[in-house]
Amino acid sequence: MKTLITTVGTSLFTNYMKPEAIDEVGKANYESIDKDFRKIEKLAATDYEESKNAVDAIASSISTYWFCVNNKPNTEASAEIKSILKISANLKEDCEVYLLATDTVTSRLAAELIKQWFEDKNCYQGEYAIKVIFNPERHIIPGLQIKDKKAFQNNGLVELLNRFYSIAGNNYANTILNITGGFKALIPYLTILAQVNQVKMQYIFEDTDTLIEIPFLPLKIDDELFERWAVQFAQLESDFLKRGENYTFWQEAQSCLEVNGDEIMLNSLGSALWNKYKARFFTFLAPDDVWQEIQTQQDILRILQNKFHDEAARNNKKELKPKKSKTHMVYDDGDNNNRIYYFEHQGNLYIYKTFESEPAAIEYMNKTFDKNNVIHMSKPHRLPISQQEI
Amino acid sequence: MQLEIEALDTLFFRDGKAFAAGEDVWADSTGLPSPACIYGALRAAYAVAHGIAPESIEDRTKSLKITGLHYVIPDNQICLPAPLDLGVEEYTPLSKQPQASLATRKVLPDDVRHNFPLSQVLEFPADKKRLMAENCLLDKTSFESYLDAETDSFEVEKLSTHVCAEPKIGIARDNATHSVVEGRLYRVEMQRFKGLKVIVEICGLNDFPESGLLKLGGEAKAARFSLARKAVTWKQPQLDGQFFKLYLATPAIFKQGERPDLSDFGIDAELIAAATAKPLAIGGFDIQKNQPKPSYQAVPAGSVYYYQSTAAPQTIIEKLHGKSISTVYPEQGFGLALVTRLQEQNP
Repeated sequence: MKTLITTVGTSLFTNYMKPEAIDEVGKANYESIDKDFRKIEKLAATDYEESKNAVDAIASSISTYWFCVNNKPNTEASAEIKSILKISANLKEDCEVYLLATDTVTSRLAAELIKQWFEDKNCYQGEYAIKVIFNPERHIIPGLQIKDKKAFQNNGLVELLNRFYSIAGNNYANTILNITGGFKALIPYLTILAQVNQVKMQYIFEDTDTLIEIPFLPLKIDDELFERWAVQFAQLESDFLKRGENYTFWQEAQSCLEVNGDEIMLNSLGSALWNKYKARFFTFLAPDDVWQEIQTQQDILRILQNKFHDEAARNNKKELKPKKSKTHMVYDDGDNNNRIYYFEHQGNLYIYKTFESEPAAIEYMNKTFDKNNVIHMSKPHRLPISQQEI
Repeated sequence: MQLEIEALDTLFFRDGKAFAAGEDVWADSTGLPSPACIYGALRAAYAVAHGIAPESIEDRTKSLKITGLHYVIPDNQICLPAPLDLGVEEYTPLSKQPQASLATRKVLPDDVRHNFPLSQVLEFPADKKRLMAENCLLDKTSFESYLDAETDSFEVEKLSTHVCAEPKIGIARDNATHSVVEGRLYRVEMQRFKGLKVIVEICGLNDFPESGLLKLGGEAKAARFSLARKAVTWKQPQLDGQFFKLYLATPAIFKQGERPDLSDFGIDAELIAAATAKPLAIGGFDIQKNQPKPSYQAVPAGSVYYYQSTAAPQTIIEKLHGKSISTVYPEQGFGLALVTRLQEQNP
C-alpha cells in the first residue's frame, strides 16, 4: 500500500470564499466565512482551542455547504482533496494519506476538515480505500509558519524533515510526496528531500487536472564529507560549534551549516542530508585496534549493522557491569557470547571493546579503562546499516 | 419555529414622537422594527391565514410568544445588536470594518463625593476616540466570543450599511377635487433594508403558517415571511466566580425604569455597572380598541448590565439566559436577555 504525504494549505477556505463558490452553493444558502477566517488566519496552532467559536462556525459552513454542492461530492473543494483523488486514481490501489499541517490554526482546521471529507461516505465514493491520517499531536509541524523566519528555518523545516522520516520510515519506494497544497516556500526544500531519498513527488498544477510528477535527477550526495566530519555533525545534532575552532570543517561543509556570529549549527539542508547519511550508515568512533578487531568478528559486525546502530534497540540491551562498580556500559546481546563495550560522549558513540567470548568479556569487566584516552585515540568509522528487522 | 422576515419594499417604523396630520411635518424612523411591531404584524398574518375577525384577534392569538429575535445580513451572517459596552472607533476608513473595544471597569474612589448610583463606571480604551456601539451589529461568532469573554476586540457592522434611510415626501389630496390640500406637506424617513432580514422565533401557535405576506410597520408596507433557513441557538456561557453580565438582545421595559430587578426571577444580585443609551419610546395604536396604546420608555437593545451575585451560575443561566426579563410585554419579545461571562478583574 502506498503512503501519500500531503502538505496542507488553506485552499479549502480560499476556494469557498471565491465569488464563483457563491454561485455554486447558491446565494440563498451561502454562508460567508470571511470574517471568521480573518479572525484566525494569522493565529498559531496553539491558539486553536481559544478560537473555537470562529473555528466551529467555519467548520459548520464548509461541511454543510462546501463538502457537497448540488447534492454531489465537491471533489475540487480544495487542492489537497483534488490531488489526493487524482493520485489515488492513478495508483489504482488503496493508500494511506498523512496530512501535514503548518503551525497555524487555518492549516490545522483545513486538515481536520479534509480528513472529515474522506471519512464521509457522501463525499468520498472512490473504488479504492483512502485512509486519511491526521493527528494534531504529531502532524502539526511546530515552527512551520511565516511570521517568524528564525523559527521557520531552525524549527519548522527541521521538524518537517523529522516528520517526513518518521512517516516514510525507510520505505521510500512506496512513499509519494504530494505538494499541491501548503506553503510555496516549502517546495524547494521538499524537492531536495524527495530527490535525496528517491521519493516520488507529485502535484496538480494550478487549475488543471493534470497530475505532474517531478522526475528523479541523477544527484549523488557526497558521503565522504559526512564520514570525514562525522564527529562534528554528530555534535551539531545537540549543540553548536565554534567556527574559529572548527574552521576547516566550516569551510568544507558550509552548505550544510548556518552561522550566527561565531557559532555554527546545522541548517535544515544539513539536517536532511546528515539524517539521510545516518539512515544508511552507522557511524561510531573507535581506536584503530578495536576497529581492526571488529573487522575480524562477523557476529559483532552483524550486531552493529542490524541492531546496535538503533538507539532504542541498543538501550533495550544495555547494562552497567559489573553490578558493584558499574564501570562499563555493555551491550549484552542475550543468550550468546557477544558483548560490546561502549560509552557516549558529546553526541558521539565510542566503542572501546568487543567480545565474541563471554569468559573474555567477564575477565575484562573487572578492569578499568581510560575514557579520555579512548576519546583521544578514537577515529570515526562507518558501517552500512542492514535493513533487516531489529 | 423560527421565521425569516424579508422586506419587499421600504419600511417605516415611527419613533415615539407625535405625528399628527396637519400639525407635524417630519417623522423619523427607528431603523429596526420593535418587537411590538413584529408581534402585531405576525398576529395579523395569523388572523388573515385563519380568517379571524378583527375583534377576535387578540383573544385567538394570546398564546403567541416571541422567544427569540436576531438579524441576518448578506451571506447569511447572523447578527445581534452590538453590546453597548463596546466602544467603536469614531473614524474608520471606508475600506475597513469598524473596530470596537470592550470597556473596562473602574471602581469609583470612596473619597470622591458623587451621586452616581453604581459602584463602577465603564471606560473605553483611551488610545482612540470611541463612541458607544449604537446602531451597530455583531456577528454570531464575535458575539459568542463576547459571551465567553474570550477577547476584548471586535469587528462590528454598522447598521447603516444594511439599513439605509430613504426619506419620502408626501402630500395630502382633496378627495373631491384631487388637488393638493394646503399645509399637509410631510416627510417620513423610510428604511430600505439592503439584504438584512429579521429572524424571529415564536411559539404558542402550532398552526402558524410557514410562509406568507405581512404588513410590517407604518404606511402599509409589505414584507414576506418564511421558515428560517437554519435554526439558530445561542450557546450558554461558562460562568465562574461571582460576576456576570446581562445583555439585552431586544428593548426592555422595566418597572424600575432603567434597570431590571432580578429579584423578580429569584436572583439576588448587585448591579455594579451598566451600559445603556437613550430610551426608546414604545407606543403605537391599538386597532382593536381604536385607541393609542400606553407609551413606555424602553431600555434599548444592546444594553448591558454588570452584576455581582452569590447565586449559583447554573441558576442564573436557567432563569435569565434566553429569557424575557421585561416587566411589560414580555410575550412580545421585549427584554430578551443573554447571560455572558464577566471576568472578575479587568484583563
